[in-house]
Amino acid sequence: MGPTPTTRSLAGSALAGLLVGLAFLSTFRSMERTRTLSAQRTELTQAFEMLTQGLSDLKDAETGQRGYLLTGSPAYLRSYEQGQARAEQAMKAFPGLPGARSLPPQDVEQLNASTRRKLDELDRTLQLAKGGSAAEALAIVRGGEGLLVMDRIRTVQGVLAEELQRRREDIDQTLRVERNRLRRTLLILGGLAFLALGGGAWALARGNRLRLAAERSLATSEARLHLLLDGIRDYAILMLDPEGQVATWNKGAARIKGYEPQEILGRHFSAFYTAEDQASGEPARMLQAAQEEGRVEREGWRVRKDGSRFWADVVITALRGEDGALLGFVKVTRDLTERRQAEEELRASERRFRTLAEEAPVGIYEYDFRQQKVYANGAHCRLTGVPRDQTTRERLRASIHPEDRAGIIERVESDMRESRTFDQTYRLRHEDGIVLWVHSRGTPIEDASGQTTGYLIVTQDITAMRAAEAEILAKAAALEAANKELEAFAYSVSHDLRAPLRHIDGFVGLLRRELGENLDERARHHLEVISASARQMGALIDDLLAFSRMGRAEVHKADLDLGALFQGVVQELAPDAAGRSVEWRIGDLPRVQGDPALLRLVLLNLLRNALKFTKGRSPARIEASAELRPGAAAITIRDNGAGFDMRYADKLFGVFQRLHRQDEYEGTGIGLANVARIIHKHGGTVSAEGEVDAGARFTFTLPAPEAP
Amino acid sequence: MSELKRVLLVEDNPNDVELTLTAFEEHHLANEIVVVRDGAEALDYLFRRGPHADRLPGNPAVVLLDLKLPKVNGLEVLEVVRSEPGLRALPIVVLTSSREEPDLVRCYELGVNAYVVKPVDFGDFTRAVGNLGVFWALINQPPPGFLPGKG
Repeated sequence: MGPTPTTRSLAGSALAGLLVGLAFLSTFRSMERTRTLSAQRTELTQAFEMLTQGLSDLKDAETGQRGYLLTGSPAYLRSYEQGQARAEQAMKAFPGLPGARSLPPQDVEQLNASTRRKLDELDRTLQLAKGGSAAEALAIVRGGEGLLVMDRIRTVQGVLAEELQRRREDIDQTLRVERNRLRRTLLILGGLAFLALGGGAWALARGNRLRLAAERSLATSEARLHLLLDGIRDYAILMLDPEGQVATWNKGAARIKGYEPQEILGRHFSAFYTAEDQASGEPARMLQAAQEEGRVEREGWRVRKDGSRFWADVVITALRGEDGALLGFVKVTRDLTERRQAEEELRASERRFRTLAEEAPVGIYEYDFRQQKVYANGAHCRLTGVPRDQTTRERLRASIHPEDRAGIIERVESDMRESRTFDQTYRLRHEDGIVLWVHSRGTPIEDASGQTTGYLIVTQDITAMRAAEAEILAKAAALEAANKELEAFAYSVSHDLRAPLRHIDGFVGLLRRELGENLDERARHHLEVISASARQMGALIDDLLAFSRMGRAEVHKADLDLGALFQGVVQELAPDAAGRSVEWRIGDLPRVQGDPALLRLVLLNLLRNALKFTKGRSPARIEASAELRPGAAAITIRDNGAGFDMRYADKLFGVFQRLHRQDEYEGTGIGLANVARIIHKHGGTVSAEGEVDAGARFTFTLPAPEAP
Repeated sequence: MSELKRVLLVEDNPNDVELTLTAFEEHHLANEIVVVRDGAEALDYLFRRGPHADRLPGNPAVVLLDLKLPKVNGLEVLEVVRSEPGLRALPIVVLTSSREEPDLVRCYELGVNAYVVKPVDFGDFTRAVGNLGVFWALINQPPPGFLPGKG
């Protein structure tokens, strides 16, 4: 990890600071130097001016001298005295000047000496002049020595002035350089200061920003952690301080232990332990163990706020700081009550299954692919005769009848490979040698992921069932054969029995025609009897055939309108009712479920009967009405005819049973038997009520039409 | 309706033959009635073979066919006739004692024109046969190729 921006900027600032320091130092030194140089320059200027002034003064003195010498005017003496005084002063002071110290001493010495000589010369001359020896004075002057000295003074002075000037210019140069340097330094200084300031400010701001961000992220993390802990409701997660007092509390803890945060924070966690555990010092031992091993996990009883106990799994982990000091503990508690309950239920369910399997009357056999284990219940062992402890897959296979074995094994294995349910019927051979027929149904057993782990096979002994089936089949076949015979019989009867009857009646008729008027009453009567008998027998045969046909007939149920059927039959019976006064009162008749052809016969029989037995009535009243009952309709046909004696009512519906003599009412006695048979085939009932000479009432019920 | 048409009666029982013929007389039907006594003879007649090879050509206007016959029974005759192109359209009335439904069903399947059950009662019998005669021999137009009967 390289230097962070903040570190870098700090380093940069430090560097800038250092540079500033250096710059300051440089500036300071520069300023010092400038001051020194300025001072030096001033000195030089001072010296220069004094030098120049001195010369000027000297010249003034000379001029004064000359003037006095020439004119003798005291004014010239004054200017000489002035000049001389000043020059004298200058001469004395100049060498002591700081600016003059740097000058070559021999030159200064020379100047001084020359100036002395000049001044002396001037003084001498003037003394002479004042004392009246002006001509002597003039001669000295004319002598030119003074001139020479003056030249020499001028020259030296010029050299020195030049030197001073040069030196001054040097200093000026240096000062200029120095000023530039200073300006540059100041600029750099300014720039550095600015940079340092800027960098510092930026670093500060950044540091601030980072700090704020860190604070915020910390706050968010904290909030999230809090949310996380709170969100966990299945585990109690709490923190203990090093002494074991509760420091934090989450929703899971509240739910499992029953305390609200404010009730438990600050209290010792031994409150969660049972009285016995507290007495034995278990809480302290747990903390000790946690400290020593870092983490301790135990299962045990814990107590809720309300005092109830629950089985818990507890993990206590010791929290340590970087230095290894104990900061506290984290305690995670899980309520295992539910798990225990689930385990109990599972065990109970297992027990139930085992009991069920054992007591079941069918053979149950479970095969586990992975473990290659077989469970067979008692019934199965009884079927095969193989004792439970010897029940293996191979042994069970051996129980299959040899003739069926290969086929069964092949089919079942094919199904098992595809995890299909299979149904197989085959023979088992009991250990005793008895062969029985069984039916096995195999269902795959799947684990949670849907993979087939085994098969559950339920085997039923169907030997008895098969025998019963065979018997039924045999009986059915026999019945069928019987029916066929009956049919043939009926056919024969209908054909062969009728023909002679026809002939009897036919030839009797022919006979009657032949004999014509030759027949007397008695003869005619005899012939009539023969005819009638033949016809009666024909009717009987017809009815018998119809009756037998009815027994074999199938009921083809349809939704039909009874009212319409009634009307049809009434019309059919019109010829029978011709010439008579008959009142038909057909009421509201419902729709019913039934065979139209057969029900028509029922109505035909009943109404024909009604007509027959109301022969003596005028008007004959025949009513039909219906009464709706739940799931059925009851139809009643009432007549005002001869009625019957209720004492013999149970004979009414018998075959060939009659309650009236043949000469009273013709008939074969089979009509009502037919009616009964047909109605019974429909699943209904018939009943009759009557009173001698007061009419009869016949009722039959039919199921109502099926709901659409 | 000028010519009298021939009627073929296929009946094995002599009594029934007599009764039938009497019935025809009662109704003053003068048609020629040819009587054959079993199914085989009926086919011989219709196909003009065997003992009937020399009969006059032409088909009867109607065949009154009993079902219970020796040798070849009525249903077999019906089946054969109905599968013969030249005889398919021949009007056939089954006249039998049997009212059994299988017989009825089979006859109509085979294309019978009418099915009449012989009544036991003489009066009814006479009336039925008479009506048949009147209708088939007088009123009904037979298909082309019928045999003109002796007047």
